Amino acid sequence: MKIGIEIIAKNYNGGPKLKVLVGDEVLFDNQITTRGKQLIEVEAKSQLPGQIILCHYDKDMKRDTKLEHNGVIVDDKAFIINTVTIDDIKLKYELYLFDFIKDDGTVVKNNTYIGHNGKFVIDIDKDNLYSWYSGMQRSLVSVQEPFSYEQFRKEIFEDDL
Amino acid sequence: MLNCDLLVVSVPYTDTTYPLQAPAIIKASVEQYGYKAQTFDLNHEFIKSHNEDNFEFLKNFFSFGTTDDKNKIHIAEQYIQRVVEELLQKYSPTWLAISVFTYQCQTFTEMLSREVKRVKPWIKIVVGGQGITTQGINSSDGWVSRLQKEKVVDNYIISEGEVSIIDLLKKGYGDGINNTNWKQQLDLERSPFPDYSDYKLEEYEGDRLMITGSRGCVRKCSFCDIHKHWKKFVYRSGESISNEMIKQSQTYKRYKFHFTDSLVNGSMKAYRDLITHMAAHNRSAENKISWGGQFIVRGIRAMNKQDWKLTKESGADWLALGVESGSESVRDHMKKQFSNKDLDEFVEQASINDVKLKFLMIVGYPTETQKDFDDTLEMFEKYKKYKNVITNVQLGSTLGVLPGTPLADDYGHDLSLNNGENFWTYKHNKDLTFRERIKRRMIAGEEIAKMGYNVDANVSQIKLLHFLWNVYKKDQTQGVIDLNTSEVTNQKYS
Repeated sequence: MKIGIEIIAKNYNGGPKLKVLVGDEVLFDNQITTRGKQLIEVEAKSQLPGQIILCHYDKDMKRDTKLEHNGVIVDDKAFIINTVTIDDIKLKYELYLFDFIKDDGTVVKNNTYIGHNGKFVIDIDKDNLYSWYSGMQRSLVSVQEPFSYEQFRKEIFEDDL
Repeated sequence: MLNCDLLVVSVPYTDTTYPLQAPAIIKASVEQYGYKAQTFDLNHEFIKSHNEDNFEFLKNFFSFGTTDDKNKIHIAEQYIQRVVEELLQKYSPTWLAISVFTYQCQTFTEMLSREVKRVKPWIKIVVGGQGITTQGINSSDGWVSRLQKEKVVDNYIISEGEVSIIDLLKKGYGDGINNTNWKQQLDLERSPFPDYSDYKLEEYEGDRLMITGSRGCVRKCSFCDIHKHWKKFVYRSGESISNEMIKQSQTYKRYKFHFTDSLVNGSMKAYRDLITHMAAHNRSAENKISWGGQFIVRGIRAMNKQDWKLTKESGADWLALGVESGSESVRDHMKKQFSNKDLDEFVEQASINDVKLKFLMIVGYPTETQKDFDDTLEMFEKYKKYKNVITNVQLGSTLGVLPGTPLADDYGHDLSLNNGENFWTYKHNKDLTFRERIKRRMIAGEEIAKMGYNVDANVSQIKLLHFLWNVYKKDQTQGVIDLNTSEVTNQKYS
């Protein structure tokens, strides 16, 4: 299983430390020292079903976030998960369906900005990646896009207006 | 406690009010070899609970195996535990045979099998049915061979089970058992009539039984993959079919039949034989038999007035026609092999003989121009005088280019799939984008309904398009389950 993780890194104080695991198999463990968009590509031997875990660690919450005097964050040791590609399946909007579990156990939903220490867990609970992905898309759309015939019609015909 | 060699169950989720045929066929097949079989329709039991709180969650979870609320999964697990407990309190089988009708029965099958193995690991489990491999572009025995590897099931049977199940019980091996080398059964008359004696038929709506007169198709329509699965068109004699209808109606007091065939009149010889026998029966029968099924459009020269008279007398209640388009040039490209004149003659005869018609349409075929689309609307305008005959119109959810179809195989180089069977663009008709196809589909639904026709499942199909449109807009990949439907009469994959 090939996994590609596109992140946007903020490299304050040396940059975030990231570990990528599938189950117990550690595929990547490094400090992201370069700022901006970058791609981490790894290959897992583990079979599905399984969990892909992006673990952010070793951040000192007092020292590794640069704040302005008014409390606004101006730089950070953190990263944004932009996309995750698993074989030929690309997750983007779907990423908001997964939980980020902070080290203190707090579960953060609808979030791809990884600013705290913790684990972002992509839980693939089927051995068939395609059916897992399809099912997830269906739930994603049904959750996010309530159906209205009139609205859908308007959208489809809008280029005629 | 009922002891039996084989307990055959059909499992959720299939959207039907009919008694599913497969368990009844398997029961009849094994019992003629001296095995004792029982059947139980778990799908029906599930559907009966449709008013209960968790029905919608369970339906979606069993159909797609996914939920956005993982905390609810225990509800499905508890449901399965209860089903297994009740099932094994009632039956004591050596084998449990699970009929997996479509892909959407896989989750339930897997959960059921795991629970049975947990509770009574000595019960041998065999799974079969189109649903164990119906995964379109990912079609393989991957799912079921994994279950076998994990010892969740002991065996699986690919495709027709009537013969293979006997091989399995007798020898433990054979064509299509734990392998994909199944052989199409060429003599359908060898199979005994389905045995519904364990079904509570009075609980099913519609009072119908299913019947199979043929497998495969005589056509090779460009958008259809059926010829890939059934290499040959095989059919029973009309006499054999009519014997089944008469015998089953006498046994079960059910007088309506629904043909599962791709087409009832594929062989006109067998068809004439069928309607002659059934017409003779109905003339003297106290309870007349009626039937419906999919049908090829034939002009008056191929299906003459006498054929039509007998069709009516034989009990033809409704015929579903793959009309697809009002444009001859589109139909020619599809290789439908009937002209507008043939269709006019067919509809006229149906009207004269009062046989109801369902029109099955495809909006947005690759070669469909604006004029072709207008021709379709004009056809419905022209047939407004037959509105009492054309009782239903199914417009579908725009054309999907399915793997294994001539469109995919022969025109693949001119088609770009764009990450989805429904998202294609055709090099020689670039204006026909997915958006344009949805637009035409919406217009067709609105205009045809305005003309007074009954457009079947219009909202649910537009909902599906809405879902696909969102997948398309977000540049995601269309999954195979989006092409499948749990409606028993509306399976896209053969």
